Amino acid sequence: MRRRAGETAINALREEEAAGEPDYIPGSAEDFERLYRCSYRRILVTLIGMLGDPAAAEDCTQEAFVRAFRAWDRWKPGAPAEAWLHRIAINVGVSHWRRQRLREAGELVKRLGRPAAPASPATIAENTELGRALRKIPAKQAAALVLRHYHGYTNREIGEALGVPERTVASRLAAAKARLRVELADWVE
Amino acid sequence: MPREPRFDQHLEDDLHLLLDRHSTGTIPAWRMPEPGRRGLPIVRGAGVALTAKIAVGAVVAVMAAGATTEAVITHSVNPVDWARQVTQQVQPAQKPQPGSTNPASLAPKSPQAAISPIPTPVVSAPALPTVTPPAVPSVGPLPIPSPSIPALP
Repeated sequence: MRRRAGETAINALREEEAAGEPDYIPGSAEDFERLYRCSYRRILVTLIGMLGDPAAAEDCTQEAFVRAFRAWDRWKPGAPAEAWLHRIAINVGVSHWRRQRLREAGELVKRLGRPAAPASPATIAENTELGRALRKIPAKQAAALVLRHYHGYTNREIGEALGVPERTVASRLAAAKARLRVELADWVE
Repeated sequence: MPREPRFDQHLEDDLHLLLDRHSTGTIPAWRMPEPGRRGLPIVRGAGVALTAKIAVGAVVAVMAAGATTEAVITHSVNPVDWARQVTQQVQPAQKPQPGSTNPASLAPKSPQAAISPIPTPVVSAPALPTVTPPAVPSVGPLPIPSPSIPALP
């Protein structure tokens, strides 16, 4: 399902849940498995957009679901479950992104003067202009971009999902777009 | 067309080109994590750093307190003076004064002996025959022969 920005993703999810699916019960293993099946792909896509590496994104997605399962009995049914999952997943993704940056800096120092190792085939697959540009911006900004312009969340919904004010979301999006404009200078022209 | 919506449109189209193929893949089966040990919260993550900081702080505080005490007692901040002062205090305690009796030696051996008026019967063990150890012959080191170089013809 392709959703444009402006449609409210969380409201759509609420409608979907209200239409057919019963509400989730915190702590129920069956309900968590249902939530996993419903939201796995969307969480994975968000993390691929953040990290630019499908293999790492899959690992982070699994870790996020494991963390979510451990906290499942504390989930409050009033909040949309997928937004809650996104919050956990983005935290996992940001931690991974920071570790990856540190590792890259260490490798850069180690191989001073030598050529870089070839990228993995999975990373090459994401090596489009936009994929490269997304990897250069901070993970939280990339996450906001994917949530806003791919999943179609509103700024308020992103703020609710990430636990930050709407104004912070707006400034993250503006900073991300400004950076992308620099990286993709001849993209739109 | 204004620039901002055009950029957004382009961004959305490319995001879909980039990510749509990942939104149709197979979903791996959900495996419930084993309810194994997760460790004490204090030894995980920020807890480790906090515990280490507290431990280092406690050690530093104890060392600072000790140094301050010694500096006050000796009126010197030189650790050599602290060591000398400790040596001066310890040495008289180690050497017993001639003619002095250790108060500890006057104390009864056991509290029971001090309380009980009835002396306990002393049972003497039968004298064992003295056994002298067999004489071990003294073995001296063997003389080392000094090799002499044979005369060449």
